[in-house]
Order: sequence, then C-alpha cells, then structure tokens
Amino acid sequence: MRRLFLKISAMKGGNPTQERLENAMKLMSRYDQVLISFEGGSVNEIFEILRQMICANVTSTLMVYFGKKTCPEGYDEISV
Amino acid sequence: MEEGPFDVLISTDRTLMSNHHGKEFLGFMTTGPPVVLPETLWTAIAAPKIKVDRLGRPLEAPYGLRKIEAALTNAGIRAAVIDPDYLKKHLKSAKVLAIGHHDYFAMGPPSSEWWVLTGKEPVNSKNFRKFIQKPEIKSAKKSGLKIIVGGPAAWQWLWMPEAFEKWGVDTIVEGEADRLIVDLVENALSGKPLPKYVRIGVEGSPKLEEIPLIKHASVNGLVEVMRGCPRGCRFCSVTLKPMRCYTLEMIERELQVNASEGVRRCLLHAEDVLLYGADGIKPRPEPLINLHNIVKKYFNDVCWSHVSLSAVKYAEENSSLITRLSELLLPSEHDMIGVEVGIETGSTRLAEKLMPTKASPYPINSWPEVVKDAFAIMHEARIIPAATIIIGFPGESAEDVMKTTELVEDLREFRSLIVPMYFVPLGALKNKDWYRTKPSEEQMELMKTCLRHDLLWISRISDWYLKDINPLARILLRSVLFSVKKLAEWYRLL
Repeated sequence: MRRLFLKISAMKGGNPTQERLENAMKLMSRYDQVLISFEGGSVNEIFEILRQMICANVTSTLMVYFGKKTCPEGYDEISV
Repeated sequence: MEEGPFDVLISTDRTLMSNHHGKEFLGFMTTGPPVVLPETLWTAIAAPKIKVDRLGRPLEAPYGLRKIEAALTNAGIRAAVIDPDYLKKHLKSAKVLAIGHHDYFAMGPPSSEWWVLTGKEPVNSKNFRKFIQKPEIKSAKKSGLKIIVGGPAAWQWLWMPEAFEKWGVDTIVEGEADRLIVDLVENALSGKPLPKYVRIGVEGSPKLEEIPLIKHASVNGLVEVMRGCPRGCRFCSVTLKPMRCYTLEMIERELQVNASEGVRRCLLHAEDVLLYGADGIKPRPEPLINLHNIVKKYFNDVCWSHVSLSAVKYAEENSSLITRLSELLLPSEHDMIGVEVGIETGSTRLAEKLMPTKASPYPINSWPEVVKDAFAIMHEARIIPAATIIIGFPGESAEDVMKTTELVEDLREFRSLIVPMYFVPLGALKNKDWYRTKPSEEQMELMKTCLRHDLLWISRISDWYLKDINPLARILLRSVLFSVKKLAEWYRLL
C-alpha cells in the first residue's frame, strides 16, 4: 500500500497557491492512503481546500488532521 | 442482547428513525416542507415514532446504522442503536455518539428541489437541527463526548463549517465506514486524537468478507444484496465504489435476522437489483431466480430498491425474466411492487455526455426508446417505477429540457410516478442563499408535465399502496392528495 503524508501549512503566510494545491492533488492520486495535516487556517479555509479535493474526484483514502502532526513511519512526505 | 451501559450510541433524527408506517415511499415526505397539514401531523404521517425496547433500542433501525452497530459489536465494543427520544439516559455514560443521515442540511435531491420551489426549509433538516441541539447532547459534549457524523450526506458538512464548529462535531466520515469505524471508535475510547475528516477511498472500502452482517432488524426489512454500480454516470458517486455481490448465504443470514425479529416485509437493496450475479451489465436469470426463491422462504411482501431501465429491457427481451420475477413476487393479480428507476434525461446529447453507458448493452442514442420499452414492460408486469429526472445539469440547454418533457409526455400511458430532481451544483452551495435559485421557463414546464403525469396516476397507485396503513394516516394522505390536485387545477397546471 502506498501512503503519503501531506503537510499543508501555508495559512499564516497566505494560503497555498492554487497551482501547488493542484500539483498536490495530482500526486495524491498515486497513493492509496493520504494523511493530511493542516497547520493553521480556519475551519472555513480548510474545508474550502477539502471541497476542491473532493470535486477533483480524489479516490485515495484521506485522513485529515487539524494541527501539527509528524510524518508517521512508512509514509512519503510532501509539504504545500 | 447486550444490556448496557453503552460506550457508543448510534442514532439519527426522527425522519430516519422510523419505518414510515411500513411504506418506504412515505419517508420521502420528510424531504419537503409540510403541505396543507401542520408540520407535526405531516411528520407523524411521514415518520411516526418506532417501537422500542425498555432501553430505548428501536425494533427496526436504518440499515446503515445497523451495519455500524454490527461492526462495532463484532470488535467487542459496547455499542447500540438508540432511538433519538431515549438518548438522554445513555449519554450520561457514553463516550461516543455516531450519527448517520441521508440529508443533514437538505442539500441533496429531492430536498433541495422542494426548498428551491417552495422557499421553505424541508422537514428533514429542521428535524436534524432539533436533534443535534438537544440539551443532553450539549451537556454530554461538555463532559467529553465525541461526535462522529457519517452516512450518505456526510459530504454536506464540508459546506457547513459553522455548524461543524458550533455543534462540536469531532469527525466527519465519508464513504463505506464498515471497517474503518472500528479504528476511529477505538481511538476515541482510548483518548487518542481523531482525524477531523475521513474520506474512505477504494482501498479503504471493505472487501466483501469484511462487510459485517446486521444483528438486529432493519427498517422495513431492507437487506443489501450488492454494492457499487458499473455504469459510471458522471453525476453519481456510487460509481466510485468497487462492485461487490453478497453471497446468498450472507443475504439469507440477514433475512433470518429480520424475520426472527418480527419484520414482515423485505426490501432488496442495490443500485441495480437486476445486476445481482449479472454478466457485467447483462442480467442473468439463474442468480436472480435463486435470490428471490430464498427471499420468498421468509417473506411474502418483497420489493426492490432500484433497477436500471436498460437492465429491465434486456432481462425481459432475452429471458422473459421480468415476467418470471413478477410471477414469483406477485401471485395475485391485484399485487404490485414499486421500485426507483433513473430516467435522468430525455436528451440523447446530454445522455451521451453525462451517462454514456446508462443504456448499455443498448446504444446511448436509443435512450428514450429504452426508457419507453422498459416502462411498457414494467406496466405489464405490475411493477410501478418511481422515476427520477434531473433538471439543471451543467451544460443543459433549453432544447435538452424540452426533449425530456417530450419523453415524460410519451410515458403518460404507463402506471408510474416521475419526480424531477433539481440539480444544485456543489459550487452553488457556497452561497448561503443557494435555495433561492429559480428554475427556467422550460424547466418549470417540465416540472408541470411531471406533476400532470403524477396526478393522473397517483390516485390509482395510492389505492393499492395505502391499503394496509393506519386508517387515519390514509385519510390524511388522501386529503393532501385531493388538496394538491385542487390547487393544481386552480393554478391551471392540469
């Protein structure tokens, strides 16, 4: 099983750019399971990003945490 | 049976925790605002209280909640489905409240459509709000209760961040949670952090052998026979699920549970019941006859949730299968069964674009003919289709809508109900006033055509459908139908 740890932490300095998000979504589709950690940002902002992911028909299993989380063992890691 | 106390309570509001007087279709009344009758009476007809045991456990409960209950109890977790009126005493000791719903905020069809047309909030979302704002839930939340929300409408929470925060929801679970719910609940019980949102993809969906079998009765004897759909329509999320067919042994065990707990009817559930044991999208007689023979061992009153119109046509033309199943299910010439089907559009242009394999094995450009042939077959076989059409598809033109109107007019001679579903694009839901969207002239004409069709058939269908329900509910429903007909005449819609 392919697992990805995706850290989205750009909220404080401005939201992640659309281009970077879209690249992340493309990458996600190669993994069976994606653990997403949002560092900062309001619920509204985070849900907006999740809605984009759902509308893009991401078929991986997503586990989304609010707040800082470290990359678990066995996961590839990227930051947006 | 477990006697409590329960660590996990599984529940929902009254609009779903009901057997709808044994008539599944009456449950749809909760997707609209009350018409003619006051809301309390409307809700009592559509979703009466269900019988419970001394602990407040319903004798029948929604099938999805029963699956979660089975998954948790199989894992040794003390969990039970509890009626919403009996949560209070259990919430004093429970650690998790798991909630399922078909339409938390009335954003899905047909609720969204009734909201758009009437400007009034449907009964289902009002009931859910009352449920989640119960003082006992608020109080338990302060003491550390974890709230997990799921079910087919879980996606709606992503459009309601204020509600998510205000009501203290801990986790949203989207997708088939039969397997993953155990890990989530174990984490909640041991105080580990919970994810705020989980979307179960293909890998996370349970394999056939991982799907738990219900341990207690489901509403109106609903029993799932397969999951997934191979047709790949672009507007439907079911198509993203892997296909899995239950074995006959699995189905029989669930039938036995329902029969032994006193349920007197069976509703076979699948996205397309005729594809049970099929060769791709071609129905096969043997698995279907075997399935129905097993069901008939336990129940006389059997119906289907959904079938596809192309499967109806293929099954009848190649093996007279619809006639054979009808003879098996409907021994008396006065018997009938109802089933949901999807027409969606009468425009071959739109059909090619949005549901290219909906007509398979027939070509999609013959879709209107497939629909008419299937309706004729079902009319002969005394199967009543409750058909949906979708209005407002992205890229829909006035001509597409007019083609659908023509198709609905062509179906006038066939015993059926046709319900237009107003498609609300997900993007529009960001606007808090999304329900103020107004249909176009062509769309309104199509809705009126559906209303004329339905009013033509509904009296005859309701004579059969309502024959064995509570007499008071029958009188009230007939008065609603009479009033709707008079109003339609008054507004010159007929």
